[in-house]
Amino acid sequence: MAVEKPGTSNPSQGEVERDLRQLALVDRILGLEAQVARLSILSPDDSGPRGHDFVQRELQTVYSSATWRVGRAVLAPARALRAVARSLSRSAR
Amino acid sequence: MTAPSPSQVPSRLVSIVVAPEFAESPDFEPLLNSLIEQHLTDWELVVASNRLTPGHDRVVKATVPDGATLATALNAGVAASAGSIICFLDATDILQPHAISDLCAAFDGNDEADIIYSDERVDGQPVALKPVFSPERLRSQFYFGSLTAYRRGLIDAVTGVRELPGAELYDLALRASTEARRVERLAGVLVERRPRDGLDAVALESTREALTQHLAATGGGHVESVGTDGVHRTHRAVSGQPLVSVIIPTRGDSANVRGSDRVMVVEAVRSVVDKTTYSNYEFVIVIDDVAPPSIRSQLEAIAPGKTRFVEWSGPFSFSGKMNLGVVHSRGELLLFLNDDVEVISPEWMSALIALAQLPKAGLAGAMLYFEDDTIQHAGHAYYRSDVTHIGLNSERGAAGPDQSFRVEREVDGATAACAVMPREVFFEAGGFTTLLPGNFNDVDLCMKVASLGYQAYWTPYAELYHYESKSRDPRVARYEVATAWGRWEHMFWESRYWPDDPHTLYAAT
Repeated sequence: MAVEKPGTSNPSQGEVERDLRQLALVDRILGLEAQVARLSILSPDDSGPRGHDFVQRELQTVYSSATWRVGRAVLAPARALRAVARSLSRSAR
Repeated sequence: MTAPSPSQVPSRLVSIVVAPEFAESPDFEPLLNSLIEQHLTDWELVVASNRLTPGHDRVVKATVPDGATLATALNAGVAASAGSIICFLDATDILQPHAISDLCAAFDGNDEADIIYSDERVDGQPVALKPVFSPERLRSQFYFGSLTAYRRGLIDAVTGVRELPGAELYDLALRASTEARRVERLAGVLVERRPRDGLDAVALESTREALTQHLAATGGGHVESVGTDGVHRTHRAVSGQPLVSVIIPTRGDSANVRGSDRVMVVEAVRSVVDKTTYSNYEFVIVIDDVAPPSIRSQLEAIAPGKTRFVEWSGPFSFSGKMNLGVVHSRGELLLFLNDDVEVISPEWMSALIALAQLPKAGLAGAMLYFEDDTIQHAGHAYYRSDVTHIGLNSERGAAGPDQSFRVEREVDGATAACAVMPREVFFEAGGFTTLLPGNFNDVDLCMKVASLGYQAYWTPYAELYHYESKSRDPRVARYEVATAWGRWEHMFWESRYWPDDPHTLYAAT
């Protein structure tokens, strides 16, 4: 990858890779959260022939993935900040 | 929201206020008859008139001074009413038999709802279902419609109806909606009405005044024009002069457009430079290493000092290229742009920026046309597990249902072929997922942005051609469906902001 950037200094290769890794990690966590939400709202009737057991297995697969566990830990501070912000927003109304 | 069953409905009084002398027809017998046929009897009809009113034990007469204005009459009606819920109807409106019970149940089911509006049927027109509360759309048209119900306390809090002849109820909705704890749409047609006459000169002036005050009170903006048809061209203001990074992924392809061969990215950049009124932007061109070298020199000549190149040497991935472009960019705002577009409207970038700067804005999308002047994109819609473009293949110039192609409005998502997004939101959402290199990556991004609590907007004032061929190979890989639907299938059944079937075609008007 070559970058030509007039005027300002370019990000280093390390910075680029760090930012791309951060994007990918956040994406995977939000994606897994969405999968959990989707699976959680499926009732056994909705899931048809796959059944409730399938949903539970899928959920356990998500919960036990390294990406999920690492991501939850990484995003925990952001979650806490958002919760505080929401709380402040509600109390300000 | 949907109404709970009638058995859950508590005792509650709905006051319907009418001022028949100001109506198209002073005969309110049909309205009264529709009230008499209600499933729930918790209503009263408050007639603000000095004329004789029909004798019915649920009709209340509000005395108004001779020569009173509509605002005075309506306020007199409110003062004479006893209901905890107030609606202002035209004397010619007709309610469905379940209207009052549905309204009561909806208010009872949502303690924070201060305003509830419903779908409506206008004589001679197809029903256009309404979106959930869309405050930016409301500043462009009074889309709430006839049956807009207010909690009494909210009417009192905003000191009732103001003297703005011809715009009294629109003004009330604008002011009340900014004070309401929640504004809800009650799905389902609860009222039938006649088409309204166009706004006259007095009403237009009142509307301009109401909108000017509303914009000033809600973050700024200006009224460019007000329309007799009820569609008003209002704009939010761009705050400051933020740097916008225009991220364009390209292979340097050429194509034939209107009989001429062109290098798509070169002409896209040229159209941005030549036509855009906003000036503080940079281009970040993410260019494949196989692209002809002359493209770089052409682009540098078109946009000297504004262009930087990031070389892409990996396998095709729109998502990967966009993410790479973003991490090399500096802009507070990111503008995603395909290389096969051409700018039409000079204010396009400003219109997108202004929406992307709104509080909690996630992204703002544009009106895109195919080469043959049919619409490609007027927002994303999700319908029965399908993901599609609003307005697809409708004629350029079509107004859409309830004029929706002509107004800035909230949407569930927008295509990344042209969209502006705050930089911090992009990073909070994890950018474009590289799990979807070709298809649905923008849908996924919009879903993530929405899941984080941000709002997507769309503007008809950012118009571009998108020369993506209508015959583009639409094949989608199974893994793409599995990934996108695996994440968001539960969100793809209906659109909050486009409850109608998005596949409907509309002709130019």
